[in-house]
Amino acid sequence: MANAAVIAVALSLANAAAAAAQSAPLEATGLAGSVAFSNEVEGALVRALETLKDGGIKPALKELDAALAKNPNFRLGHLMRGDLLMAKSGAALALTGTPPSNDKTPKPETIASIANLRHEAQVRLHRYYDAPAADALPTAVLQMAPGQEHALLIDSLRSRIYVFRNDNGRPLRVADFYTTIGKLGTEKAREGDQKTPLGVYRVTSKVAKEKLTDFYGPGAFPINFPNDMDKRLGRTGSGIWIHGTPPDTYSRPPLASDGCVVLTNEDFQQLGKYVDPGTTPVVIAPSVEWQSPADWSAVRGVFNGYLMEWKRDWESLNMDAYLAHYSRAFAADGKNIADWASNKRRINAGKSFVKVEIQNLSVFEYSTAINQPPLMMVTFDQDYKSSNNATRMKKLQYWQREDGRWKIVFEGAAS
Amino acid sequence: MNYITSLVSFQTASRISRRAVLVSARWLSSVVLGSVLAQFTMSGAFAAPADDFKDASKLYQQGKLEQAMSKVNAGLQTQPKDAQGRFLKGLILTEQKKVPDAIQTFIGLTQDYPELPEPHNNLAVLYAGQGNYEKAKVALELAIQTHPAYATAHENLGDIYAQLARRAYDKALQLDKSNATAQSKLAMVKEMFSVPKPIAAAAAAAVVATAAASKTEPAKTAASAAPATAAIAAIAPIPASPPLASAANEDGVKKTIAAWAIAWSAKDVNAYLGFYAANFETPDGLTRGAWEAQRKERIERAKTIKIELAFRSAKVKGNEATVVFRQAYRSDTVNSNNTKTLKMVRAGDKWLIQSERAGG
Repeated sequence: MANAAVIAVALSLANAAAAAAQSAPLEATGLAGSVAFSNEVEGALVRALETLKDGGIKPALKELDAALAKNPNFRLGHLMRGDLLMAKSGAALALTGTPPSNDKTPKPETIASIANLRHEAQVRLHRYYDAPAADALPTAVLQMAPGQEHALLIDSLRSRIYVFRNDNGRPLRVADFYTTIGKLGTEKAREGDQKTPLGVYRVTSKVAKEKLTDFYGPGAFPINFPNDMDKRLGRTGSGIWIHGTPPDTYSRPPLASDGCVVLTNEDFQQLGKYVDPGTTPVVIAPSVEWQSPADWSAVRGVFNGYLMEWKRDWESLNMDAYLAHYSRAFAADGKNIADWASNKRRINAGKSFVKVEIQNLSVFEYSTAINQPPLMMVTFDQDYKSSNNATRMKKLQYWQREDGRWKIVFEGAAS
Repeated sequence: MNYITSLVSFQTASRISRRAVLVSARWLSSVVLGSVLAQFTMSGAFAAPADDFKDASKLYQQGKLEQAMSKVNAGLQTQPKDAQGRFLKGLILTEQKKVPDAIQTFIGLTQDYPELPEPHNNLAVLYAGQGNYEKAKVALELAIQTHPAYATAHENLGDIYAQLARRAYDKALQLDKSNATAQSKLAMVKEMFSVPKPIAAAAAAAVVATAAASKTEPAKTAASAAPATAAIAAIAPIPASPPLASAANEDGVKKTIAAWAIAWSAKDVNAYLGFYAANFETPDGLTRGAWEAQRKERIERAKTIKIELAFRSAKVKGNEATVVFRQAYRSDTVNSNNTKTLKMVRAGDKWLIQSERAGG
């Protein structure tokens, strides 16, 4: 009896002290510089974690409680909250992968859903603890065309979608969000494989909330899967959308969709501000490589060099130099490289000059598979004049590394 | 922060000194574990040790660490076992950033006075400062075991749990890269005002009573200082015998074994060997010297040692005790989990290990 009362008193004393500590300002320490959080939920997660280091469990719980009050369906927040309540007695934490001690034989579904939440915690937190430098640039976006006000870049490995504003052709990072992709990851190959495609796409339209079930949240942005490259590679499927989340959960696990790219409803609304249906490019990459501005400029400069050399050699009518820009694997209009080359030689033999103008250039890395180096996907408006011909077209090229240099592997009219 | 008035601390100090005198009287033949030689000073030679400690305490509070240390050492020369003096020495060493020495001092106190929570607490603070949260946790749990109502230890333990949770997250979610060393904000206890275990219930009752009283008379005492003051008031007069009654019961035996496990996991070979009786039955027919050398070699070879105990039974019969527990031993190279039986023998107010064997 007496002992129980004593412990109660002791705990209330401890709580009073902890309550006093709560009023101290909370700072996100341990993270480089000032941190801008994508949304308040991630802010709460990181602050709770940081608070554990110097404020204790109570203020960490307070952070989570505040986030949960606003987002009652934030499951990861609930799990971490439960963890921290358990931690008050030194118990094992579910998020660390230790099954709860009171549950000797957890159901496989429980294990799976905890593993999912753990994965979500991991990617959400790594966004802040392994953040690229503020001025880092992705090689996946090397040149934005003037009409592309924004571009979206998805880092499949890190479950993140980045938004870039077009800053004179250079990508300027303006926002990023946690995102869910296919249950079985990327490299979509066929209809129903529950994978998200890798490649460079375009938002084709916007589907309003009214036309959708709750499952899609506040709306959807379909993308042009399968694109020309997918068709060339024999990939099938349809209905790959960027969309929101059903009302029963704040967020879905990192790998959970049938191939769609899913954001929380709050984040989807934010993303919507940057999307221009019909125009906005969507790069879906296995993972994103961040470079310093100098290194990024070097990568861009090198590629641009090859592109300009190709144009110059074409204009020079030096057919050997011009054809050296094309890959052994090049194919166009049903012709292999040998047939196509001899045809080109024949056409160009009768010309006294060729003049090529390139405008509205865009250059994106195009990954066709996780373990393959990316191609360069290039689009531009081509204004071609020769002694006996003149055409204007929107051109699409894919370049790949071959024999230590960039070569064209596909070329045609952009659709 | 538990900071108490000088009046109270003075009362406490004299109470503990008196008890320490009784203890050391029974311990004339005991070996001083501390290796720091007492500095001989003129004042130390003539003043009573209690005065030395009082002076040292003042000097310590004024930040005059060197002089405080001289006084403490002078006092300890005549009263090497004095708890208050050794506690102060631990505090001074801590201020002087001599952390390993401070740790040794507090470990010594936890061994000789396992029922005092403050040395456990301060040991925990020092361990936590080294980032060794597991050891800090064990030490705090012992502090709370001795005094369930010890608010500082509860607070500190809460903080340790937070650190452990954070560390677990860092590891599980692979955030290690970001793991800048956390600044421990654990509270070091600057004064000892604990009471021996048998009186704890009375003290506890006093805490409750004070808590209740302060509700009706809120103006009477500052809430934070009240429980400690009340607890100390409640224990006077000090029972003359037995001085460490807790050592006679099962709890005392268990605490000794817990302290033994701490010394072992802290790889403090001297302290660890200090738990063994002079007539300890060495295994495999080894001589005492050979056995000690073997233990020393094995303990020091391990990079890390972690020991968890779960008591099965503890039977005390006169001056002998038999304790059975489950021991989980984990080092960087060996993991073992087995049942152990220790036969303990009482020497004065202390329990020592007479034999150690595997199995229940």
